[in-house]
Amino acid sequence: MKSNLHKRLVLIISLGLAVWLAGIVVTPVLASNSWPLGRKVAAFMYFFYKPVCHQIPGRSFCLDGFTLAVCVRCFSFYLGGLFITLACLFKGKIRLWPLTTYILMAAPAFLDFVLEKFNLYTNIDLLRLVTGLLLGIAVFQLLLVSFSTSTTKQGTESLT
Amino acid sequence: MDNQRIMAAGFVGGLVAGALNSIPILNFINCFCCAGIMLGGAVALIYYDRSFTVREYINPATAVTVGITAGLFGAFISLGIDYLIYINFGHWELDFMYDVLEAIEEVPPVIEEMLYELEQDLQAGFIWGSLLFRNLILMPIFCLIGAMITRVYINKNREESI
Repeated sequence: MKSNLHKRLVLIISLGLAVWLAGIVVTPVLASNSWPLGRKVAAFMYFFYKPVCHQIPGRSFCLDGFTLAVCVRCFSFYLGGLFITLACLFKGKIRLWPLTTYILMAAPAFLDFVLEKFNLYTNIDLLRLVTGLLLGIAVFQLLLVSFSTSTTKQGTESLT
Repeated sequence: MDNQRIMAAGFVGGLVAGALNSIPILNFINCFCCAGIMLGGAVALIYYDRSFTVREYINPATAVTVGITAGLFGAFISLGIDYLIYINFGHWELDFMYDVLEAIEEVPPVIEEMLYELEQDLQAGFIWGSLLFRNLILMPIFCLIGAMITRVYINKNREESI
């Protein structure tokens, strides 16, 4: 019963991430379309994703001559999230990793972000892709762990 | 669950999320995978946890409620801050986008058209409804993620301290 609930939750998170990612990829396709309504929708989609990403064209993947709705790092962050939720869905079990694992997975993206912000070096898309992917896996794994443990008077128990 | 405590925690978290979402320069933190808004959810849950003298384990339902409440407060607070900024500085985000586009050698005409259309919509007042709509969707989701992640470490620390 509890396991079913957990599976449903993971499924909902996976679907949510898939829809989120689809929105990111569909935006440039709509923008490149000659259909006026499609372009209006694309403009709104760029506006919609604006608070979650800087959307700088030079740091984003292009599709049909237009950039995706988020930058490479953010795109790979959500992609990493989708990857880990799908893995959890098929594997069925999830447990908390040691804190150092999360730190090691998040540190490259953080360093990449900070060093670049202070113009200490110029990174490349592949590096952003890999660091974002690792960060996404770490963050969404933690989220799944949080959803997979219920609370009792004695402490926490796994639902998986 | 204690509704009064949840509202207080939600408001504090909403203040953090709203400020980090709307105040220029501070909102650069969101370039790092929306960390600023998630931080709002995390702050809300920590505030909620610390409001108890006898601290218990936090269950998922409480973390979800606190996170979503913080996001909803944050959505309105962010809109308020955006409005204050608009009154004082105008559409600085649109100006920023124009500056970015000017740095590019060849801007596709379609993008220019889209920006022009967006500017028209902004002037028509369409933007405030859109901003609120966007905030009401994005902020609860990311605050919830922040609160749920924080829950893992609050409970883990509690287990270790017992």
